[in-house]
Amino acid sequence: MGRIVGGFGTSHILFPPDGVEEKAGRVLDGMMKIRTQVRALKPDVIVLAGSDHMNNFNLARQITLGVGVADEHVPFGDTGLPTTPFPGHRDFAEAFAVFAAQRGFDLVQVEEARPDHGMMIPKYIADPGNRIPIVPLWINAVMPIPPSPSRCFALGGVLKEMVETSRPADERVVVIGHGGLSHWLASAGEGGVNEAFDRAFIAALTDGKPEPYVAMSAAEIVAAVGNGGLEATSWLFMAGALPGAKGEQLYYESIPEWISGMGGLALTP
Amino acid sequence: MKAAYRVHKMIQDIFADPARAAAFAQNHEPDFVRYELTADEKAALIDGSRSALAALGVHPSLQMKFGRIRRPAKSGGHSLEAAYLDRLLERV
Repeated sequence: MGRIVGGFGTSHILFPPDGVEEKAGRVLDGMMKIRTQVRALKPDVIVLAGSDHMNNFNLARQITLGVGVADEHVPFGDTGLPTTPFPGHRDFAEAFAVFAAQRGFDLVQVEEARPDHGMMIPKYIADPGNRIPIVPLWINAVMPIPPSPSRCFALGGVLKEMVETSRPADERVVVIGHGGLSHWLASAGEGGVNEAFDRAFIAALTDGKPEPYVAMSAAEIVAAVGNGGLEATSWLFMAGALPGAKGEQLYYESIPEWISGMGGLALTP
Repeated sequence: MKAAYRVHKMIQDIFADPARAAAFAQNHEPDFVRYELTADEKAALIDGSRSALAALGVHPSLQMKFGRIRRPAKSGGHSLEAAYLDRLLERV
């Protein structure tokens, strides 16, 4: 059987360091800790879960949950990131779509999408050299109607079950949930950071006790940490793939100048 | 309240096409006509403030994209700092 060998949560944006140089430096250092740990885990595939920012899925085509099945992915190239193609993992991704369907999750299979900064910054954190196949999992956190936190968590469990029962022996899988933490994007509350919530969320996940957040509705999460903070559902997907796992906070900075609570953590199965 | 789909579609379509975005920044009227915007919708988009766009019901992400269309050099469509990119891409 395969194994999920590690899980990570991380914010997926960086803004100019002007005026917040020390905080920005600590955020980047924290992201590099993720890189170091991912490398040590020697994954065969990384499942990268998070939202699209209306660059692929917009009001013309709204999807709730989608898995990138392509052999190769071409980045969208926003925020100055390269558009160099990087490897996908068709066999893993299609197997996940089939397995998830058997467990009540009908994932949209995405053949052609161009991952934007949300996917690409965590991807480059984990694998700057395009050496590790990536399976993007898009979890809508931008448009009505997003998947519930409990459903995202449960889907993580489905991933774990598939890896442990249906994948080749010794396949090593890392799961990264990205986005957040608290931020209000072009909405009332913009510029605010709910540091207390962010830190409690990280503490709950690293203590192996995400249940209070799994039990929240999407609307309750938005009320607590903003429309952008709903990206916490991707972290809950990751936590669902490592139930009971404990871990450590790798970084947290409240940066109102970036209109964001910036955080990262690692879970060890 | 949610903005009419034709408002959202106009922003989505223009944002996806740099040539159209440049043309819109110079003269918005042809697109306003093409997407059959009402006087109130035109006024909100010409105002362009967060409050005006929010009152119209423009989706937050599309508010951001509209800002980049109107002010491509100044608004949120930032590029990552070179120092970030160097570390992210392991160029150093």
